[in-house]
Amino acid sequence: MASSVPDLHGGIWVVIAAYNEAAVIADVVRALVVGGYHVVVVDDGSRDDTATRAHRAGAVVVRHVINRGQGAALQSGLRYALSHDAQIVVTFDADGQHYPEDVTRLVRPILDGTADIALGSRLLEHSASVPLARRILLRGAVIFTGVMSGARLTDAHNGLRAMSRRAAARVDLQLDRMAHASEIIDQLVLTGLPLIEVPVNVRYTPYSIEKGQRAGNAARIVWDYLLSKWSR
Amino acid sequence: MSLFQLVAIPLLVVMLLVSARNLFQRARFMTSLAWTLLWVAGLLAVINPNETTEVAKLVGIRRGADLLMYSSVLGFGVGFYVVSLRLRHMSREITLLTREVALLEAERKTAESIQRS
Repeated sequence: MASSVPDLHGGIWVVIAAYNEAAVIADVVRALVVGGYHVVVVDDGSRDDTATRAHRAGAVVVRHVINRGQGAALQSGLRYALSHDAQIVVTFDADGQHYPEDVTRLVRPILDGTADIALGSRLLEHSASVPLARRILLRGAVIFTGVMSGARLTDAHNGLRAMSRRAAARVDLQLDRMAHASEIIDQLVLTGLPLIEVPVNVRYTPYSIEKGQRAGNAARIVWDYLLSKWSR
Repeated sequence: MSLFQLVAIPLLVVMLLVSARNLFQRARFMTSLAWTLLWVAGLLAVINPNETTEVAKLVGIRRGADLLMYSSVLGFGVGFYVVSLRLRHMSREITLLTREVALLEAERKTAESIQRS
């Protein structure tokens, strides 16, 4: 895996926003560190020992003293990575639902210059692994994001994304909570830089489903997002 | 004088004095002027409720009590909106502050561990 992109590994940073993920964070970080990536975990005010475990597993830890939400945490991680000469920034979920091997697939089109932005998609193929209820919710999210940003994507809310430095530098997430998933797509599309979707796998473990977004949260996310559009 | 007037008038006078005092601080002049005018209007309405009907008729409302009702609903609506915008702004600032602290602290720890090794 790692050997296919050895030369730039110094410049590839994986950003993980984590809130109370002590149970899984060490495994997630370790797998990425072994893969040769720089890992920055933004501990978003966790009350467990997420920070210590991430640090021991080999990540740099940026610690929010109070919980500010995933969007805020990702933005902090982006800032850190960019200030440490990241050439490519990857966002990765803390709950262990992504496969570290997929990072390589996501980074490749950026390395070979075909794209500046690579978005992981659960629905491009492999969709058998996504539970039906989740697939319906994701479809809805795709349509919503498509209407708002004009981007035609198959999966709008996958936490696995890779960006070139110049793309990442133009992301400035203002929505602190979960609506950032639509916001980041908006901002990336606005850059006008070439964007592709890359099929990725997702593990739906009982843990990740428990920690993930519930359908009921969708209304809150849409509200946050629309509010930001109106009162801009 | 009714019981309501007995309670409301002193209260309004106190509010009026507080906001009138702020008129002398130049930075807060416009807001304290607005508040002062509001309290004066409130005082007039409490002292002479019948006069509010005259004002109501001017804007096409039949009764003074209705005018007060409508304008307070409107006032609360606008107030709520302003407060929620301010809350959002404040929440944004807290995030930015949290981020700066987090990044500074991360750099400090990195520098520390480099020094140690």
